[in-house]
Amino acid sequence: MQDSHPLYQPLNRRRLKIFGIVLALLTLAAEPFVHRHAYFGFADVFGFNAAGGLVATITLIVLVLLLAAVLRRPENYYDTD
Amino acid sequence: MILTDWPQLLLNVHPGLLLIAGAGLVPFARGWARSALVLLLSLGALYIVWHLPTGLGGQWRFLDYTLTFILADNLSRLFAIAFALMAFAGMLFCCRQARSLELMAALVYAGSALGAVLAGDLITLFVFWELMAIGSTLVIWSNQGERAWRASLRYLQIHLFGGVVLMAGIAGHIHATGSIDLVEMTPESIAGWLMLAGFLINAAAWPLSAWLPDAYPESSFSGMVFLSAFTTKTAVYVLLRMFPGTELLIVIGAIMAVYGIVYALLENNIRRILAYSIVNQVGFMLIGIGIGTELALNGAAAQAFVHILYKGLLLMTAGAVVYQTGKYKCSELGGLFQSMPFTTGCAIVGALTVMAFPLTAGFVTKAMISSAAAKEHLTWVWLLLQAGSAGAVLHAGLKYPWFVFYHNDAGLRPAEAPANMRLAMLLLAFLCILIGMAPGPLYRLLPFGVDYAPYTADHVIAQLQLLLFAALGFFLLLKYLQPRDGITLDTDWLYRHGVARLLPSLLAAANGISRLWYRQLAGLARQLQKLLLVAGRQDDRLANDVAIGESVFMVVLLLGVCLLLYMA
Repeated sequence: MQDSHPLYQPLNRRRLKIFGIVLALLTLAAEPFVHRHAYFGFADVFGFNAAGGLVATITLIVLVLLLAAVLRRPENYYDTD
Repeated sequence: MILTDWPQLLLNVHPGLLLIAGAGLVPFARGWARSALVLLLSLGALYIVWHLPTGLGGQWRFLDYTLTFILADNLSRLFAIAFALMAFAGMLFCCRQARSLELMAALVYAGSALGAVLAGDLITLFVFWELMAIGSTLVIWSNQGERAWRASLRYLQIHLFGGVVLMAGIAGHIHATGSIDLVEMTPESIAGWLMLAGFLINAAAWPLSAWLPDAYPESSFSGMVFLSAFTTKTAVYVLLRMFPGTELLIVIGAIMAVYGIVYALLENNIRRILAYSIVNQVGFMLIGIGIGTELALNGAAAQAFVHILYKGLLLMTAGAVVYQTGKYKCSELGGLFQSMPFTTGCAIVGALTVMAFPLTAGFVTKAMISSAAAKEHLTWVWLLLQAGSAGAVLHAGLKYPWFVFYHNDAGLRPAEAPANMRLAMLLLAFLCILIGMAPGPLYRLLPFGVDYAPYTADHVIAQLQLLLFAALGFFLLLKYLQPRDGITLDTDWLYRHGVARLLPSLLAAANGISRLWYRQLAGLARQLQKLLLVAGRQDDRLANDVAIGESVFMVVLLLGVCLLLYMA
């Protein structure tokens, strides 16, 4: 299908990606200027939440891929009997 | 007189019974009159619950017990307001498009959910609880077709089973204590455990959670809007009231939180993604209930309230897509933002709320639970909640809107949803933003006093980091998340497939064992017979009247043993 809308143009897609990355990095850059009061010592480490978000996402997606290999079945699996 | 006093008269009506009784009028109304009827009924229910005075009401003597139809306090009022609000939004969404049967079923369902959260005793709760199962089954059933029919039967079986477990627990509790009061309890007795199990089945607690993603997506485009709101949240309500601080709920909630994310990511069906997302979010609520502090319970209650709103909103956008395109798979959709910009905007608001993005309702509620975990120094629970927040970005937060409204252009150009659907979406999107920007009124509705400030620079930055870097991970690994046709085996495999396959083997084994026993028993009987015959010859006992009674006794005994062996 034709991707006619400007948001589908490669240049604009790249701009969107860069915008997202810059936004994420800005939140990191803001951290030193914020008074932290984490309940756990390890959560006070610089960039803990950023690293946590990234690691959690990657871990979950790896788990999903592993489970997909074991648990995925055809659409009509329950209709075949 | 009646014309001027009707608001006061209305306040004397039970809001749940108003909806249930009003459902009977739906078949007699057509067109705009039908729409007006269902909207007025749900608005009436909202008006009543909003004005409910604190205390007990609607008491009725039945057998040796006093049934209480209205128990109004902060907790029950919070859930009743959410239910009535959702009943109104749901009716607005589908009043012109849904079949009369669905509207009737939805009214009965919403009315019984209201009855359950306002119930002041175990018997009233149970009656409305079961009525809710019937109403929700009819909502699924009203989407005609073989798949919906089969799904509704599986759904009903699970809920009737849950009802039996709950009834056994309630009966045991009443027998032990003589009381039907809704009181805080701990699962120490068998009755307590049975009641907890009955509630957890309705909460879609793992491993009995598969009924939800199995049945809900088989309802009509609008049916799932109602289904998402009431059953699981009624269970959350009773768990909040009766089992706060039960640590087992933390474990179950943690499993549900991860399970919901993983299965939602494996799904291709947009409404199944959102169904698994319900399990994920209810998991957060159970964790809050399990922690049991005032902050955690407030968090669980507030999360339930806003979850009803944002999940309703997301399901309305999904329903609008299904209604306008007839398609429900991520792999067949994409690019809809071009012709359905309004629905896309509402889906983005819902997605941001489910992610707990600042300035949305999710942000001001979800953090209460994780703060409660941190304050109690529950390190692994806190870490899991953080990971769960990142996970919420993946499924309902990004996967659903990304693949449906953007990603690759599938070339579909459906028109926007009808006006009433757009109005309902707008209402819920507005509330998601309003509560996020001004959480005060919601906090005042919570069961305990709130001393919590969600908008600190630390909290906002930490949450933005978590969400944005989770989103970064999503886009980095996007190529591995391409939706594909197929299903993912869940625990329902056991009763949909496993039992059917294992049953013949089990029966054959049982048959073999019983034959073996039968042969042994027959040998024993022959030995016994010989002994009796010898005894009979020795003193002629078998000829006596007394021996007939003994023989009958022996026969009955042997038959009894055979029966027991057969039943085993």
